[in-house]
Amino acid sequence: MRHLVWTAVLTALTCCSSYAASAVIESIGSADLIIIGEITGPGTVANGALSFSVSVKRVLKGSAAAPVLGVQFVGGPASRQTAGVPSGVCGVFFLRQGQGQWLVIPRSDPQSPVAGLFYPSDACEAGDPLTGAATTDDIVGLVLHSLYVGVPDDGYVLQVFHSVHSTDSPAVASAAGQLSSSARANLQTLGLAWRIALGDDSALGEVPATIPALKGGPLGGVLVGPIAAYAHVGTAGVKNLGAIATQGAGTPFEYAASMALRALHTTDALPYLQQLLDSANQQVRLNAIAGLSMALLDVPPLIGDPQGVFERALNPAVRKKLSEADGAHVYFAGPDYASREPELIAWWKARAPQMIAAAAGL
Amino acid sequence: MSGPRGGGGVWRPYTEQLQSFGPGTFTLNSRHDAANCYCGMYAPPYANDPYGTASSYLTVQRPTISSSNSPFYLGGALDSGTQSAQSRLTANPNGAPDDSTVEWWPLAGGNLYTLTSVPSNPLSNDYTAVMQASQCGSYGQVAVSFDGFYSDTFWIFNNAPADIQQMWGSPGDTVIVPSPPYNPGWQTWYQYKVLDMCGNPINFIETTESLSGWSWPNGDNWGTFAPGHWTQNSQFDEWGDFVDYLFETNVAGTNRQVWPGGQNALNEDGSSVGAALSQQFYGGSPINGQGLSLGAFWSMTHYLDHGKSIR
Repeated sequence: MRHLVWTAVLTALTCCSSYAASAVIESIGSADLIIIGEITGPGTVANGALSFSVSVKRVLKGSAAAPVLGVQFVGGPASRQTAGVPSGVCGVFFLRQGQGQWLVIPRSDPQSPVAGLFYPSDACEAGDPLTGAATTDDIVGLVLHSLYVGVPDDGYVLQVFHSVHSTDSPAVASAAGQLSSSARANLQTLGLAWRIALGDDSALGEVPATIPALKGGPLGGVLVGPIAAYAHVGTAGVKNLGAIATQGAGTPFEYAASMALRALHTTDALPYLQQLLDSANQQVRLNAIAGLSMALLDVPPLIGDPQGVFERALNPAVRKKLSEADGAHVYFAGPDYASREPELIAWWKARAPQMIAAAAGL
Repeated sequence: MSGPRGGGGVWRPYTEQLQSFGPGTFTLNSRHDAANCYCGMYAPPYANDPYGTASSYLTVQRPTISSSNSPFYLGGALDSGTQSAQSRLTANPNGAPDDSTVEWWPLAGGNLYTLTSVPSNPLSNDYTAVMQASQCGSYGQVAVSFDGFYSDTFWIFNNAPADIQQMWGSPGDTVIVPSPPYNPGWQTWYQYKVLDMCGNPINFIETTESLSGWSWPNGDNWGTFAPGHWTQNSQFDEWGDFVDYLFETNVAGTNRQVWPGGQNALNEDGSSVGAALSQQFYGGSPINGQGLSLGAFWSMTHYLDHGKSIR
């Protein structure tokens, strides 16, 4: 009978969502009120909304009309609404006015059953020195500081990563080094990722040692994005990318490094692109061919405005004239890749050593 | 011949078409002399400078065209993320008179785009990509003319979102790498990058997914699932993420059921398959199933550890 009841009333849902990469900045902009506060009471669910009270400890943006605010979380799956809220917990809340209420702006996709309602904080204690309005960097700093409140699991580390990753706040830069020296492995990984995103070529050099531990786990995904997007042409960084590609063979690290080497295709990158022609991963092999093709065409490194740089270089009005054989084997992408790949790989394996020698002045 | 009396003069209009000569450096050369038959006087023949009998030199360049951005064909939408199907083309007359008759000319690939005049600026036209190029490196051509004098050919590439690559976990893998479950919930987290027709990553483009072909290898005791999809804009400023969740919509006052075969733990190693389905991505539109197919038809497996109730 119970099962029948469940069948009748449950509507399980699968949903797919995405995080906006700068969720914190968007939330700061859209919030009418940002506070540090303490949840008081377990909350109630009625009419599809979760209601609870928050004792205001500090106002970071806007103006709170009362020391204790009634807030609501509306929308999202019912499972979120029935989850309740942990009484006595301190957090940074992003709120907006709507329907005559203070409404919670969740820290992740509101459709998610696990949408977090706040960022944990340890600044609710009496006598906390924090006072007055906060800057954007202050708030980003509080979000980053939440990583040190309690023991954040990998899931929370991922949420914070996505919340602030693409911001240009100096708070991220200053946090990167501190995270790297954390005793917690997941925070170290986060710090490493941000150092790479900031262009720290020495951080790239630390990646190969982490591959064995990360290749089967979820946090490696934090690293591969910044690796693939690495856009600095210095020799040390490019060589570190080559080491990642080599030592990460068979993992997403190899693919990520091949994306960066393809985009940079500097003289330093050529030997690694040559090696990647032998990768077991077809996409990596294609990246090797495309990178060597760009080098042959003298396409500048794809930095800043990759599409614009690439298209200007490929434009027939200015494109470098190649020999017939070279021109026939320049390749970037296309539905015919699978059928052409054997011939392309064989040809580039013969051509790449000549390019490397020419670049070395031999 | 005409000119002032008592002396001499020449007024000779020229209507040569620049287009017939092309760019270059032009000057007007003339040579004339005169004789006074009564006095038997002859003026010496005059030619070019330094006697002021020739025009100065004029270097004529062809007009040129520049564009505001590289256009992306987006499957019908004009904008997606920071990409646009439109680009403003602006002509530089390179010395052509302001009152010239300006005409825009689609030279090649005219089925790829439309040109629309900009009322506020006759030197500009709005280019709208209405079809993607046939392949990477295939360019359409546009020109502008001033009184029939044509500009350099402007080459323009209708790029498009064309592919999607998965960064963490591999399409077709029998075992994908799920992220750890948030507390509570069961999710699969992937990083993706949308690539253009040349295989280069695209920044900031809306991407959606649609899900179909659901199966439930371990059965379904969560009631009526709703096979379908839900989409949201994604800003792929670096590497985009899609986070898929399977969850049970709970009822107040009841406890979450354990999924069949579940280990009732938060360890993914103890999870079982919840659902298998097909996943397809679209780029260039926030509306699910619209925009351009990114050519990926992947099998996806959701794993459930289904242990910890949120109650």
